Amino acid sequence: METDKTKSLGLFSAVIISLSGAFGIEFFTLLEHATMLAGPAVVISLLISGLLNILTMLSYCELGTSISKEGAEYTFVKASFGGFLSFLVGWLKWMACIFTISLSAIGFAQMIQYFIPVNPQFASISIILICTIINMKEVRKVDVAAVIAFIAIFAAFNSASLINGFRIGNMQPFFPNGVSGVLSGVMYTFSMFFGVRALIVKGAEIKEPGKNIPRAAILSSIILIITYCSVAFFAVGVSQPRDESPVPYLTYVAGKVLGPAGGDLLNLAGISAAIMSITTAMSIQTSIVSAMIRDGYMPKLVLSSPKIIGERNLVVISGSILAILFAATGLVIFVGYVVNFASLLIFAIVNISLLKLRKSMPRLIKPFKTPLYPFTPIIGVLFASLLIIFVESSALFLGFEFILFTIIIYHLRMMGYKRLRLAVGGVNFGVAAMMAITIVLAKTGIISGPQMFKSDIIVDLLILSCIIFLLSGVFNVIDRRQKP
Amino acid sequence: MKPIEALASIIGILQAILGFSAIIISDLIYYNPSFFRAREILKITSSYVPLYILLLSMIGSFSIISGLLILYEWLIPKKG
Repeated sequence: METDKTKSLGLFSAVIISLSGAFGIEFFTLLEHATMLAGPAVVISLLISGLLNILTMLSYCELGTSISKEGAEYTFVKASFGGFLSFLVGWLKWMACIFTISLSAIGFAQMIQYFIPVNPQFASISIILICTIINMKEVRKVDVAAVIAFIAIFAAFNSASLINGFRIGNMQPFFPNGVSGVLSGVMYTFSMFFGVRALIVKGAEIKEPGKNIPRAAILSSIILIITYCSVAFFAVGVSQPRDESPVPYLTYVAGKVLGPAGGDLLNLAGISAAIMSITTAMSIQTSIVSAMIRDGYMPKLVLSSPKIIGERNLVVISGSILAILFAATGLVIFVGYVVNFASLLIFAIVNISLLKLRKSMPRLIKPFKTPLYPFTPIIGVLFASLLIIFVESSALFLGFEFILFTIIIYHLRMMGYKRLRLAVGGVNFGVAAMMAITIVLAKTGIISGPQMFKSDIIVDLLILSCIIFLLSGVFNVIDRRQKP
Repeated sequence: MKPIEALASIIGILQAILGFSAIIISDLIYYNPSFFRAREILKITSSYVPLYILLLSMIGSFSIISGLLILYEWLIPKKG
């Protein structure tokens, strides 16, 4: 658990923390898809994402400096609204971390194949397992060298592109898919800036937080905007991404302008970024889940777990298991959309929280005040809501399904063990009834079911499952201790 | 152990196994298309594979939770 730490970090360290959280695998994996949607105007998409990120970071800074408790977004919303909304944000943030881990692991697998011909699923699962062990041992330290190396590699990439292959003609047409293409591009590029919030998580360690946190957030966001926009600009000026390319887009361009060594260098940067993203997401998920356990929104079973594992490590392990399941699907585009959907929703709710908190707690000490209030948070909310429209439909479906799932979990958690068993029993009856109806309708030919209903073994298995669900319903509903 | 407790335990174990199997099968459908010709028999087109994985995973997870709840309620001795 977190202990009191002395405020020892200055502005430079704060910027480094922010940048090390933001230089992640998203830029290496999602830039290609964003460019396919927006064309060369992906530069505009990156600019919009960066500016939107600054707007939201200002709200984060005010909330982070006023409420410096573990849990960041979850804690802000808890202070403003409490109840279900904070629970939803906590769950969404946890899920976003899990999907970020999956996305980074998939990206890592793509990059490592450039050097070693290894099964991508095996590579992504292995890296999650390795990072889980690293995270459990708490050996990760913010690495100034890594941030400087990233900036140096990108600067070398830009210079070489300018000299060796950049043609302004390659950027025509600039808006192949119009404004909707640019906004769809924003959906992919938004998560590239999201890591800046790592600064808020480490806020307790920063000197003069009211001054240094906002300055570091803005400074690092500007560095990110300049770095990402320039790299994207030079990359599309050299070559635009093609479908079904076996080599990651940036690696391909780096190989073209810097030779094979350039491709290797960029891939190594991507691999480091993937590892940094995974460890950052793991530490964020621990912070969020620990805060939710603290407030009783998550089962305290983990608190009474054997000391060999420990509460913190149990959170890391459970998140890693879920991340492995998603990473094993290898669906990079889908996972990317889910991360962005969750991030946008959280951003919108955090901005609303700021508006609410200013009204409900006007006397709260605020070391930093968001400039141009209330326009800053309002624009943040509007922009985030607008961008949700551009989420891919299957990811949107999964997102809303997850919200529905969260509503159920919240109410089950609040209703207690007895009612939980009753609810599970009820769902068991429902599943059994659905199975029975489907089998009867398919066997009588009322619905033209798949071929599986013509196989006796499958039907027998379904009947057996139906009986098990029915009996499970009964045993969940009966109270063992009830006297007749 | 009373007969009803034994039956409840068996059902709990069976449901948890059923859930676990559903999750394993969903993964096998994804990774190994030739597994028991499952995709062919179920007429699953590759674009619908993620949906099947999602459905089987959800039912599977629910079954495991329900099975464990039954075992917890009926197998572990209660005080009072």
